[in-house]
Amino acid sequence: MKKTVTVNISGIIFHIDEDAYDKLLDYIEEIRSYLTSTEGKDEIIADVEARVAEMLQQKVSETKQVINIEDVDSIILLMGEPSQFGSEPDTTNSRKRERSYSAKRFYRDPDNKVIGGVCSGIANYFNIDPLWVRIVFAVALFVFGSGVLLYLFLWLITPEARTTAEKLEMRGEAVNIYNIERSVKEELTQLKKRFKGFKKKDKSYSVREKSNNQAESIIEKIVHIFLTILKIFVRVFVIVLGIVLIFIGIFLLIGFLGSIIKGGEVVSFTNIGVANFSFSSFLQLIIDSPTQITMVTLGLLLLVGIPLLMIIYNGVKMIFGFKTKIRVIGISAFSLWIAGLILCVFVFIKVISGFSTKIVVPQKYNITHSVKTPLYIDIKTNDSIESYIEYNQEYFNNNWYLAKHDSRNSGFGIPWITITTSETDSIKLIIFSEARGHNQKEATINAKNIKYNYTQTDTTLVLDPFFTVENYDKWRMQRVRVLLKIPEGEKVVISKKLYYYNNSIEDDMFGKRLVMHNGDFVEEQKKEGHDSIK
Amino acid sequence: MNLENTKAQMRKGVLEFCILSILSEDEAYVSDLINKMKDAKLIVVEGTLYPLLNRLKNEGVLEYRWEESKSGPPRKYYKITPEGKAMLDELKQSWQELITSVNSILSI
Repeated sequence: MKKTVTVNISGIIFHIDEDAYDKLLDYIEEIRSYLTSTEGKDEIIADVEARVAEMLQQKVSETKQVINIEDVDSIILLMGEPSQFGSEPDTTNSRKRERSYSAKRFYRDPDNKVIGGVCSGIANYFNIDPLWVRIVFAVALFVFGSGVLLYLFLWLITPEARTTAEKLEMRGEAVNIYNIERSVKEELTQLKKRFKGFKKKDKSYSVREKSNNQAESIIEKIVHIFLTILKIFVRVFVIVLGIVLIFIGIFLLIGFLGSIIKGGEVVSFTNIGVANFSFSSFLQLIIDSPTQITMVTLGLLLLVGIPLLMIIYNGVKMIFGFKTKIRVIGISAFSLWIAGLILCVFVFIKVISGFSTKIVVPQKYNITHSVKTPLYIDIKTNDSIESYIEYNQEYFNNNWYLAKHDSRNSGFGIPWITITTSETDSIKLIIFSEARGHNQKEATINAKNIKYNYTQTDTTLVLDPFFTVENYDKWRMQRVRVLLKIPEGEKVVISKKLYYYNNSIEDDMFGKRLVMHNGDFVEEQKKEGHDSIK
Repeated sequence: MNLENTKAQMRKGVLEFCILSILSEDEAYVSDLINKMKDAKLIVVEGTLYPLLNRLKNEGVLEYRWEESKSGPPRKYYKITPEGKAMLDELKQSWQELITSVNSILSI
């Protein structure tokens, strides 16, 4: 006992054994694959099917109603191997046919269409009644007007389910014999219609080509022309987009590689030595070991480089329109990217720990000022630092900036100066050196490497415009805060130059004779006329 | 294997000529055509013929008409066109020339 399939070949119904059906279907499909490059492929297939039907007809009789595998074998013997159908003058055609029955795919449904079969295709894909999809599209048409665009777009990009296998894929059914049987049964009624129709029509066309009735043909033709034009536009657009993507990708990649390898100059102090501040020297400043620098460089290359390479790759793909097993490339790119991320995160954690402990080392100095004239508080003149500070004021306020002097292996930073009232009766200068490290010991060493000087005469206190960091090779947020405490009644003049180092003095107090009065600077009454020092 | 291929190529070269020849006498259905060719041992399987007929039809050398069949799908009956006749005459001539040339080489 065997299960049989009812099959319609060229308009004739046959009962055929399952295995025989499989073999016949394979045979026809294989012929089709050999004919892919041949003009009039569908017509040839139709001819072959007609001949097969005729021969099968001779194999059945009143007593033998079912086609079996022997019948199919004998027909294949008569018709010849699929390779012999290949483009005729050339027998060396050895193309492998490609067929994949797998997951559900989105196709337009040609058997159940109103315009292009998009709605029924969607319905098939989601296993719902096409009516609902059509209602949604109709509503979208009236409400947003976007229904038309979406419809045309889907029509443009979606292939039509032509073969039985494609139709099964469309419905998402496993391509087994029962489903094919059902599908073929459904097709039977359609084919009968076609068969009736095709006798009336142009004889030089095959049954397949002229399958649809006249009702849709005018709309379909107009839309088809429109879509063809649209397709060309889309193609051109995609190519342009691809070129743009490639360019963007290449530029970014070059820029990125350039900054990693060489690095640009960020700032320079001409008078105190050139300080080149490139990306790689930045890495050296914050990362402990060369191994970690290598790791983070590699990590960044992967983290940034891979997305850029993917942009270029997609651009190339768009231009040439080829399809690849994106999954292989995608997965390997993604895992490399993750590896890059892990490297970066690892080094980042290490770097963070290098900043975990903060130490402030204060140094107190007494400033003696016994003469009557006011104490003149000034900053040693350094044109390049001044102009730099003036230029970068907004960024400067955190004063964590450290320039590295390449030849002298020391760093330069700008101190923050606060002038306030003193609780004692003498002038006190306190210099806070601050730095960070992995632990207290390291942070203390880093803090003690900071050097900051001042000079004092009878009437002047001149502060240095910058502090230096000896053996400077790691940036650990070194900074200097200067606290100058002025006792009650003490007279001072604060140089205008302090303006940029300071936020404790009112703007209009600079350059004037001031006196400390009740914890605040006030302008001294001008008894002696004004001979303000500056 | 190579010998078979060469033989097949030789046969294929004259297939068109033979089809036109057969059809010049009377219109024919594919299976009649095939039977005649098979009798002459020109082809072994039918498959070879379909792409060839299709091409000749597309070139305008052949035409066909449909005929209902009692025992199966409607049949295509192929017929030669005037262009086909002209082509056949030329082919006949070059066939004679070919025979002469080949024979002259073979008799050396």
